[in-house]
Amino acid sequence: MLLGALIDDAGNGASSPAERVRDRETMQRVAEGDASALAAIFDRHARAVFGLALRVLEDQGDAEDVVEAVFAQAWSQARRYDADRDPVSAWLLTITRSRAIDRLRTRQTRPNTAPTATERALVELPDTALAVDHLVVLAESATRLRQALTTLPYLQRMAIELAYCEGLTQTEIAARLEQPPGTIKTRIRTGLHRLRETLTE
Amino acid sequence: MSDPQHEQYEGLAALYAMGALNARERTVFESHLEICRTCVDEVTALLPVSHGLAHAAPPVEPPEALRVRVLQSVTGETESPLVPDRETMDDMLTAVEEPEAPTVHVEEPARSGAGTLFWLAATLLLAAAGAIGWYVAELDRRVTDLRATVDAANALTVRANTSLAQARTQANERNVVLNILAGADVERLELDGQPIAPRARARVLWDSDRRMVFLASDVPALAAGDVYQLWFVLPDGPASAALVEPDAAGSVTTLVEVPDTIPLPVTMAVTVEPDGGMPAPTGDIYLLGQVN
Repeated sequence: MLLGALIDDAGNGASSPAERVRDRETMQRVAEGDASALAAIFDRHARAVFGLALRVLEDQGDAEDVVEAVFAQAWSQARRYDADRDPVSAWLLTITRSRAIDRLRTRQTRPNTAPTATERALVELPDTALAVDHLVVLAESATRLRQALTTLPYLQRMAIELAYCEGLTQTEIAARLEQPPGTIKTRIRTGLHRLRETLTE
Repeated sequence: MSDPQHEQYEGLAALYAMGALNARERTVFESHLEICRTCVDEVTALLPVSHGLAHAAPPVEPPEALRVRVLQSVTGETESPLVPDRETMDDMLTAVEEPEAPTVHVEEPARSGAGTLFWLAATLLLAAAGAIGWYVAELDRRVTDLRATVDAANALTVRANTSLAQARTQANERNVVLNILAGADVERLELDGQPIAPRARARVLWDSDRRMVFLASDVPALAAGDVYQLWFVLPDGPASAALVEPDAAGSVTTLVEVPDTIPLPVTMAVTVEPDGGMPAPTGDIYLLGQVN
């Protein structure tokens, strides 16, 4: 069992309940308008947020703007954060990805590809509903996943990265990589399964 | 339970897990997901990888100035009475700009790389069990709901001949719904939740034979004696399309008969009306999808 194996792997995570409780309490204080609590959240999560924004945008200034927007949203919407559903980091990173992709699309000035409100709602539907698994968030797994990505064949890696980092659909990825959509489907599937195997090894 | 047409969906689970399906493909695949255990299993297995990619980006220390900017911007623009008083804010910002100054942070920031990684590892460990369980349970619930529909239909067939026709109708309706959803010529209209039901969302899909399905989620429960009514909104006034009844979870899947006089696409709306429906809308609009 994947889950069981990873939990066993991380048997040293004895302090995890305390850490999570601490994060949850801090978010409550953010919701009450406590700026020092937001500072604490920033200090704990800004590296991951900034790293993801940089990965998507590949531009220091844009990534910094996204970080600012993410924490502004965390501040204004802290009441809407559901601690039972998402760990804080997952919540922040979901916002980060969404903001960064928006920024990317604006930058690319391709108005026809900008999502409509409806499309965005639909995109966010699975994100908010499903951004709840975090097996690979175990540090070791994240490192392994990062390394595994670099060992995937070019098309597999590019297809997965374009889907994740630019929020492109199968058809858009196919056009970008000049491949038939069927090939992209296969590459993404094979690549994801390989990454999963890496995590369960 | 597995969909006999599973083969044509082969590979879509991975795209779905990556969010790489467009809205229409996603709609179709989600309808398949409800009846295909194989795909549910694959999505469940791949979602952790997909979401894990967020953490695969190497963490990068943001510039100190960004931290100051973030904290200044959020505290500067809020008018909430719960904002910390000016003195506290000044203390905090001073602390940020001058590391030697006393800090008001109650908690120790986990700034070191190793510390943060360890924290990520530790914190999310517990989340995983509950969260995966939640997702599987949610999919299970949807599959179970469908099973229950079919089982209920089957039970009826046993009970009486009069019920047989009804049961067949239910099963047929379900097939029609799936056919419409999976059809190559399906068109659709999105209905957005109005201020009275901001989370509600609905979608109307129809095929070239004018067979129409109304799907909704997060529809609020109604008081006894009230009912939701779906309307075709025509230039000369609304015409009733159907009465719709959300299940306990606030979801609706229902077939809608489209009279030949209704042009498609057409603006549609859902209002709340007294039991039995009304000839013209009288209550609040809960959902609205406008044709441009």
